[in-house]
Amino acid sequence: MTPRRLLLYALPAVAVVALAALFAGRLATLEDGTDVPPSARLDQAMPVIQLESLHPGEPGLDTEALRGAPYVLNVWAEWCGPCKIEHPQLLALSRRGIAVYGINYKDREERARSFLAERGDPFRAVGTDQDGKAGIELGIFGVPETFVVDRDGIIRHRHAGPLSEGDLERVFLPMLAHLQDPER
Amino acid sequence: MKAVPGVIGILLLLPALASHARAAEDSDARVRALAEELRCVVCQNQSLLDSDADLAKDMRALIRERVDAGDTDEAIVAFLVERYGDFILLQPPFKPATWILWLGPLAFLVLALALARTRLRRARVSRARTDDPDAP
Repeated sequence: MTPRRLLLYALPAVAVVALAALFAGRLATLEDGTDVPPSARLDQAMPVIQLESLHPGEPGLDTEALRGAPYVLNVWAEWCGPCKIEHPQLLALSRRGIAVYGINYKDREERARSFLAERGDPFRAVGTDQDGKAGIELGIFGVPETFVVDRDGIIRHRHAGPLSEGDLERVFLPMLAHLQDPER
Repeated sequence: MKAVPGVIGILLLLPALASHARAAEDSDARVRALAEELRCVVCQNQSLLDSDADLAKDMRALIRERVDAGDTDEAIVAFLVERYGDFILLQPPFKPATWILWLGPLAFLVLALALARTRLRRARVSRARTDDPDAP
C-alpha cells in the first residue's frame, strides 16, 4: 500500500478522533456533575430584580441597590433537597463576612421562614419569588443556583446545584477575595 | 315581548364575541408554535410544549403573557435566548460556532463524491488498459 493510499484510509479514523475530541472539549465546559450548560447571563449585568422580603416588614431584595460591593446571590427553596445540603456552606460564607443574598423560589413562605429559623439565616436580605419570574430572569435551570456578582453588578460566576465545601475553597472564596480587593 | 331587545342585543354582540374567540385562538396557536420550538431546560429533549415540568409551565405562561401584550415572536424568542442562551432553541442557529454542525455533513458528502469520482475514473482507465491488446 502506498503511503498516499494509507493516508487516505486513515482519514476517516482521524476525522472521527478529531470530532470526538471536539465534542469532549465542549462537554467539559458543562459544570461538574450537572448537565447544565454555562449560564447565558455569565459576564452580563445582573438583571434588575425587585422582590418583597420573605420576612414581612423587612426590606426586600433590590439588585440595583446592591451595586458597589461584590455579593453572592443564592436561589433556593424549602422544598428542594439539595438546598438543605448546601445550607451550611451559605452560613459559612456569611460567617466570613461575605454579603449573601437570597431569592426564595416558588415556596410556601411559612415553611421557608421556619427553614431559616431552624437552620440559621445566612441572608442579609431574602426576596420571595412567588411566580418564578425572577428565576427565569436569571436563567436558572433549577434550584439551588448561586451567583457571584462583582461591584459593578456583573455576574462573574454561576454555580448550578448544591455548593460543597470544596466549591467554597476552590472557587467562591478566592474569587470573592479577588473581587473585594483586586490589588491582591 | 320584553325579551326582544335582549335577543337583539345578544345577536348584535355575536360578531364581537366571535372575533374575540378568533383572536384567542390565534394567540393560542402562537403560544403553541413558540413553545414547540423552544427547549424545556429541565427535561432537555422535550419542547416547552410537551413538558410537564414546572419551569416549562412557567415559561409557557410567560410566553402567553408576552403574546397577549403584543410582543412579536422574534422578541419573545430573543427574550428567552438572552436568559438561557441558544441552548433553549431546539433548532440551533446558523453562526460561526455552529458552522461545523450545519456544514459538516455537506462537506463530508462533497468529499465522498469527489473520492468516488476519482476512484471510478481510475477503475475505468485501468479497465480500458486491460481491454487494449496492445497495452504493455
